[in-house]
Amino acid sequence: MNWHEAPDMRNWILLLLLLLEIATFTFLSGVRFDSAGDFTAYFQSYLGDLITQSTPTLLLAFGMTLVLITAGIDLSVGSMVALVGCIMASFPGNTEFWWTAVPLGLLTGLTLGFLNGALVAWLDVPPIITTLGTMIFYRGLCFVVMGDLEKAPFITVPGYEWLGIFSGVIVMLGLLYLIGGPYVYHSRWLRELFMMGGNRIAARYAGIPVQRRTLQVYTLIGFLGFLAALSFTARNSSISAGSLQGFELQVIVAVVLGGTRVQGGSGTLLGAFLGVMLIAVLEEGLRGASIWGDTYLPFEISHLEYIFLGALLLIGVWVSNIAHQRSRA
Amino acid sequence: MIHGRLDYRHRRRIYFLLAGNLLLLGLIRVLLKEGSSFAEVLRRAGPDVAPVILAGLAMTSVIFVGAIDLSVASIIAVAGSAFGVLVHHDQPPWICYFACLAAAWVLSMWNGYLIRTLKIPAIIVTLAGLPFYRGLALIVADLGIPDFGGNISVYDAAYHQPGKFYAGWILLATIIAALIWEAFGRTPRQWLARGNSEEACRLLGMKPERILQSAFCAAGIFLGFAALIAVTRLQAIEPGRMLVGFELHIVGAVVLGGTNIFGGEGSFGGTILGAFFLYFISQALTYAGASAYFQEAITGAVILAVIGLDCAIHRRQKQLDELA
Amino acid sequence: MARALLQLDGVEKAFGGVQALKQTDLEVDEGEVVGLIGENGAGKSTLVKLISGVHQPDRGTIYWLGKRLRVMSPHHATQAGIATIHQELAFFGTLSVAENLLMAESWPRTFWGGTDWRALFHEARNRLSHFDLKIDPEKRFDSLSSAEKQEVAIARALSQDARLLILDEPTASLSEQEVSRLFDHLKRLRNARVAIIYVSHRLDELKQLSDRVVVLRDGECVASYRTQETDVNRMVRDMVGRPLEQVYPRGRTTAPGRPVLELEAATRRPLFHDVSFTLRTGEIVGLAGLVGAGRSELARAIFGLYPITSGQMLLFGKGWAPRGADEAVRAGLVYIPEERKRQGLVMDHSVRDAISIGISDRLTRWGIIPPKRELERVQAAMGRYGIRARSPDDPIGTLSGGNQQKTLIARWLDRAPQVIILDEPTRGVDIGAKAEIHRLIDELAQQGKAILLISSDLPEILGMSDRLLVMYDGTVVSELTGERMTQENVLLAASGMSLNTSSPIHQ
Repeated sequence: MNWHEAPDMRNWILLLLLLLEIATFTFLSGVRFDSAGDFTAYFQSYLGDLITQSTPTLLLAFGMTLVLITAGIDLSVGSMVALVGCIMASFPGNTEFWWTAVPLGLLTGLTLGFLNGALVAWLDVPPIITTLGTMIFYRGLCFVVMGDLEKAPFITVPGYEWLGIFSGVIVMLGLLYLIGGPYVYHSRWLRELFMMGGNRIAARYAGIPVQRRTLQVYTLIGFLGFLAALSFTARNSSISAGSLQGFELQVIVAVVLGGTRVQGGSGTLLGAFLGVMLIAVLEEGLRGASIWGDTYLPFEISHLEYIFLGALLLIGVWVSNIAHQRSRA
Repeated sequence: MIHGRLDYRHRRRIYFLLAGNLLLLGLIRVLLKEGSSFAEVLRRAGPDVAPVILAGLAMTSVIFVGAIDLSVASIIAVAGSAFGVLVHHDQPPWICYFACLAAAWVLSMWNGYLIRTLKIPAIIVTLAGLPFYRGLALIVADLGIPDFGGNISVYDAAYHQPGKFYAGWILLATIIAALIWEAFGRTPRQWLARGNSEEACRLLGMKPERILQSAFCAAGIFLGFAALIAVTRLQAIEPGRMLVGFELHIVGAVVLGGTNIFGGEGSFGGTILGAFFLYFISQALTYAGASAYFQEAITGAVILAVIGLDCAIHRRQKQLDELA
Repeated sequence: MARALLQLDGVEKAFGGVQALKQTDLEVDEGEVVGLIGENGAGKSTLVKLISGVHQPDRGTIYWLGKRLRVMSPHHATQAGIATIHQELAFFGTLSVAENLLMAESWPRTFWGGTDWRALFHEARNRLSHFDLKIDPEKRFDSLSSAEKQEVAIARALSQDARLLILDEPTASLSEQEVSRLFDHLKRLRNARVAIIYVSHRLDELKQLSDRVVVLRDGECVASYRTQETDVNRMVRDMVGRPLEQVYPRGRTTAPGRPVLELEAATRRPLFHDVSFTLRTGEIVGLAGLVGAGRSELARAIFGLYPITSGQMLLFGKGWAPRGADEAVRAGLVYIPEERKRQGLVMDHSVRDAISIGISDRLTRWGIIPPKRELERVQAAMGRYGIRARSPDDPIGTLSGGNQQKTLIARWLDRAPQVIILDEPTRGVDIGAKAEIHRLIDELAQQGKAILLISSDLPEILGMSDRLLVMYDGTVVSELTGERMTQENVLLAASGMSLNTSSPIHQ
């Protein structure tokens, strides 16, 4: 498969699926529009909510795509975001928060990411094992920092809630996906990541500084983890040591659904974005369709979220595998 | 009767874990307060660690063939749901136990079937299975119990036999069977062969698909017992929330036991020792009066330290080999 | 009249639009040794894989003992009595030698039903000693040398009681002695009426061993004759499709200039030790030696993939201790590795990616590779080096071996390096591309580049080089120039024996 071209087709299919999904759930939720104004107003708030609540996933999907492209993986993202949040939460919620807790959170994010990268690049521990270990380790540190408490200093920090509302997250995501995305897409850096994932040994022979690139990718995830922690805490206004459990798998499912291969060497950021949205719409839509579900289904409709998630992932990968084989035949 | 079949690196890990376990036991013995008996600590260890070890053996089998199963916790949840629904309908205990075993076995076989027919990496198939089976567990509970509110209560002690009274014995019997099978069986060697190279298996006229399926079959049996013990220990089964994150802890124990996560190398013995090691560390911390909050962090740190050190030692050689 | 054991009737096979095998007929009788020759990509391995059941023919029929074979898998083939040694060895690195030997057969059991390990190892030891191999069956397979691995593969196939034995390039990593031992066994099997299909590049081997030779070219069976009635020249002509000119280009006229790369007692044990030589501008220095003598290992150290532990290297007169290959590339020293697939290219990625990764640092503006400029450069390079692909976006995997190799060379040459190390640049490349690559190397030398050429192809390295360094056991044992550059001298030096007409550099 050619990474320049083939995924495009897939992205169109994802987009189509996404629209279909939105239409179906809008219908099931029982919303009816009397005028065009109604219609735009509804979708404005709908899409706004959707994007705001999936910001942490969108942020980390960006990093996860890159790390999967290098044939790595990061299972520690959930614990990482939680730990950054927990550390920031141990500061008092006042104006000083901005230049004490926030920089420390940034430092923490970078350090945690760098630690993953260092273990992978310098000690040659397989990424899946490294991040499995740090996933447990970072989560443990959350409990060490927080214990059983749930802290919420964020509400009282002046201006903090802006990070969690639509205008705030759109700045963050816009910078990342609309400016960072195209830049990375055309960058030499990404080219090198692709080659590392396609054939690590050949990458070393091609003069690519594999260790340095590995460190950079994992550290970038640490940085995105920090941003995700900002947006998560701003929106939920509190955090506990157990927050964001299972987040890593959610991100991975979204990214893989978006067409990135876990074996490395192939993937797109746009696909990752669409993958996240597809899952977010599903989650949100099933919640909205609960009345419909109560009438027509013998079980709670929200359970279907898991079923659809699994089935989508499997079918998505299966179809793209077949397409891949066709294109080679 | 291991002969030269375990290489030096793996043997070193086993010795390390053995010594570590003994050391931790000694430490626990020293730290023990008046009034609590050491024998009691040992007796409790079996049942406590049984689900981890049994699920670990299941995971080891599938990792041997070069696959992985990320859906084990969800499979146990389905088994728990099936068990709970039958208990709710006042079925006799043995039927409930059987349903629990059967549910786990069938889903594990189904994973194997999907992997070999769809030709999709095991990590993806079981990553998809992880939410799918969780949803299945919830739907089963929802359909089977009229006013299901998130958990299924099982108060009757008649339904707690395997988890509360026989767990240690089930564990012991399974460990012995697994170790004997590993030492004398041919099937585990075939799993390892496939884990080494599926292509080589095919070229030699073996049937890699059948080998893969046999590993998932065995894993299903181990997993069935893990589910049985895990489920019958509980007063309230929560299909939606039980054992979330368990799969990665299991992988952690397996990898700590010296099994190569990419397949082809490892041992059941290592997994068993690895699981005990993690358990005794948490116990030692408890008896040392450390806060419970430290336990998870220490578990993660131990996995990282042991494997990181091992990789660091072999790093230079590995890099040279890779280039050649 | 012997009865036909295996008969192929109009068999065809295509892979992804490429017709690997066209309308091929083949007949093998009991007790017959058929030599199968052809250039790389001629379809030899495809044919072997069809017979051994790895692939199914798209069209045509295979008859075994007069009966039509329908569904075939390696399993069926093994059951029927077809044993194969594939070019890529099929092995389980973490298992013991004994298990590797016996994995596909039934294992001895004890009274209790478990594996009788002692009997298993005993059986393995018996089989190994039957072929005069002194390998411990309890050893981990990984720990064997490549020659030992090859020998275990041979022992496994030979001991299967097969009626048809297929060997696909079995002697690639064997020494003379080991090859002659293999031939003794094969002759014994032939006398026991076992049919043998023997695929090899070494025509002299086939001359010795085979009854009949079948020549494949471009997926077609172009000739078949009794071995006694033919000679090597005719075989080569049929393989290539035209008479072969054994002429190596020598357009360069300038004498070697100033030294650019100097090594003084460069050592990294156990890979190589005490290597000293000087490489000058405008000259081609050949680095000869057997597989495992440390040639590629040395080249990788010069390229900065790992440091030397003692001694000294100088590049352009300054100390040279690179910390990575990127440093070497920037300094103008490049290395083109021996195994394209593993060390060079990503088969899924496009030709454009493969080429531009080498010049990407020059293309880049603010970290971005401008697509237009990139495409221009890549297309120019494809034209200059004669890389035949439908478009720059074609996956590398769809190109022929020769074009893949040229792509790999184009990657580095476009940045005009001063020192070029080529490791087996023509391995697995067809004759046409080979000549192009030779011409290219000569041109580069003429332009004043310093070239270190590593090759196991003796005529090539003798024909191309201005002088030769011969490595043995990790060090340069001999330097040959002028008239002393002969096949005999290279072979003697490479196997560690002293030369009559020269004295080794190192005692």
